[in-house]
Amino acid sequence: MNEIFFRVDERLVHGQILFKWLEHASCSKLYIIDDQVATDPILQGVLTMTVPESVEVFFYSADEGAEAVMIADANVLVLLRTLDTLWRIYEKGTEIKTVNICRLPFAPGKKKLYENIYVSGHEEEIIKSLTEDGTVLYIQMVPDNEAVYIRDLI
Amino acid sequence: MKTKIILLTHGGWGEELLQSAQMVVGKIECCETLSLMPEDSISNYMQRIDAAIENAENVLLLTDLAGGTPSNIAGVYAKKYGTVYAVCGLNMEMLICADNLRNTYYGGELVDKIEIAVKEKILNLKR
Repeated sequence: MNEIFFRVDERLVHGQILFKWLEHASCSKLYIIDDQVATDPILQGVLTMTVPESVEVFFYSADEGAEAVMIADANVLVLLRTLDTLWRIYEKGTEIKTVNICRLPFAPGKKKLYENIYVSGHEEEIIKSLTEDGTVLYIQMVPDNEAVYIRDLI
Repeated sequence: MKTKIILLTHGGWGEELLQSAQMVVGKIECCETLSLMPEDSISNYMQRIDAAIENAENVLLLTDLAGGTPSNIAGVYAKKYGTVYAVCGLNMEMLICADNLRNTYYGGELVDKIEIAVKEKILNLKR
């Protein structure tokens, strides 16, 4: 049974943190699911450069990503930039058991949920809906940190 | 026209590095630092970089960690703009070398010279 590990981080791929999660979750494949990144070859080139050679990187739009996850044939780390994209792949039928939320930046109108995690009303609704459906959302920067469960924060 | 050097770092250590380097070699002109703080968004950071490179003819971005967000963003700029170059692995040697070498070189050649010069200065002091 393949494990799909979901992570929402506005900064997507970044060095040491990513290596730790890839190792921790024993993932040989990395799916970056984001409509904007899927159409930006320059950014894709840069992000690919920073991933270890032992890991295969794939870039998908939200629609393509949902399908790719459903037919995954290995342990996969799925990276998303926004909760919006997470919700879109969920609505398409993707099973999401747990989600590691790392960083959602501040913007006017957003409220602070936790360190480095700011959410709009709409994003809060997404978190609540997923939680009600049984998805476990937690905040954990690196595997060594203790996980903070979002259900305890909202 | 002098290549503008911009330091892109996690947190504010780029500014500290510049201040310390100036203690050693004197004033470093045409050099700006942009700190990426934990609460900053990527788009906000890029707006600050856009403003910093706007009127510069030649730009050299020096970033700290390979694969970190500042380096990833610098990579995008370097690939998009012909007159923007970027190197990761920032240390004081790199800043001082870059400041020095930009008087003679620019663009790809400047980057090559910096890479060679900095690597030569990573030394085991026990020997």
